[in-house]
Amino acid sequence: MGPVLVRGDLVSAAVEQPDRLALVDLLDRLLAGGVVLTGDVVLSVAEVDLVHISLRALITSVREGRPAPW
Amino acid sequence: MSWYCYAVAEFAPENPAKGVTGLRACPVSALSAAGLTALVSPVPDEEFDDTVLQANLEHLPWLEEIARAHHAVVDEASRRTGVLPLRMATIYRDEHRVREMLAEHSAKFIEALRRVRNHAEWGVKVFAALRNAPEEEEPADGRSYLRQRIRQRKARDAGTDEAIGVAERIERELRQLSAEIHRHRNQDPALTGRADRNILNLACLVPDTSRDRFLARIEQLRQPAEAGIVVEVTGPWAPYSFAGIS
Repeated sequence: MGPVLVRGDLVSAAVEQPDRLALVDLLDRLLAGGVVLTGDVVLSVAEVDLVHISLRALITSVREGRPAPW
Repeated sequence: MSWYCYAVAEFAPENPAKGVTGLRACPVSALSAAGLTALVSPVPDEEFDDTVLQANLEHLPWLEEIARAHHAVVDEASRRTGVLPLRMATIYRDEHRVREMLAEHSAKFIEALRRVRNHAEWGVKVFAALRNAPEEEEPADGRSYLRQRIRQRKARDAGTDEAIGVAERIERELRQLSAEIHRHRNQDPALTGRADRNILNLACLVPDTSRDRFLARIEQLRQPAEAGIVVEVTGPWAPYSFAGIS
C-alpha cells in the first residue's frame, strides 16, 4: 500500500518523510508544469532542456550522496 | 530587485496570499491588472540574474530551496482561491512589467482559470517490481549460456508486459473520472531510490465533486493488489500540470 497524501494528512503511512513532499514529485510539476511566460529573466535553454539539466543535477547529486557500488 | 511571480488568480480585492512568506523570507504581495491578480515577491537581482539563475538551477540545494518555497506559496494560495501556477523562476524587472504580462495574456488566463476552477490535480504513480529471472546453475558451455539468457529475457519481458497492462487499465479507469489527464515522464530509479520501477506517472485534473469517487476508485484498483504493483497517490495539488494557456 502506498502513501496517500491528502492535504498533508497521511492516510496510509509508508514513506520515510510523510510530512515532506518528494522533491521528484515537486519537480515533475514545477519544471514541466505551470504557465510558461517569457519573463524578463530568460533562461537560454528550451523548457525541455531545463527539465533535463535540473534532473541531471538531481541524479548526480543523489548518486554522489551514495557510496559507489564498486 | 526583481519580482518573482508564483501564480495568477482572478482579481481579488484582498491579497489571496496575505500573510504568506515567499522566497528569501519576503512577504507575498498581490499585483492586479486586467481583472487578474499576480502573486509576487521581491528577489535580489544578483541571485536571479539570467546567468546566475542558469548556473543555480544545476545546483541541487538551491533548486530544492526555490522549488519548495515556490510550492509553499502556490499551495497556500490554492487553498484560498483558484490559481494558475506559473513555471518556476518566472521573473520580471518591475511591477509595471508584471501588470503588462497580466494584461497581455488576460483572456487566456481567465479562460484557463475557469477551466480549473473547482478542480484539483491528483498525482497517481504506478510502480512495478519487475520479476527477477529464476536462479539457474552456472551454464556449462556457450550454448547453454545463450539459452539461459533467452529464458531470462522472456521471463522479464512477460513481467513487463503484465505490469504495463495493469498501468494501462488504471489510466483508462482514471480517465473516466478526470476532466483532463496528463502523463508525466516516468521517474528515474535514481531519483525515487526504489527497487521497483515507475511505469506510470499521471496527473489527473479531478472535479472537487468527484474527488471521493476518484480516491475510492484508486483504493479499489489497489485491492486485490496485483503481484508487485504499487499505486501511489499524491494531492490535492494546485493545477500545475493543467496550467497551459496556449
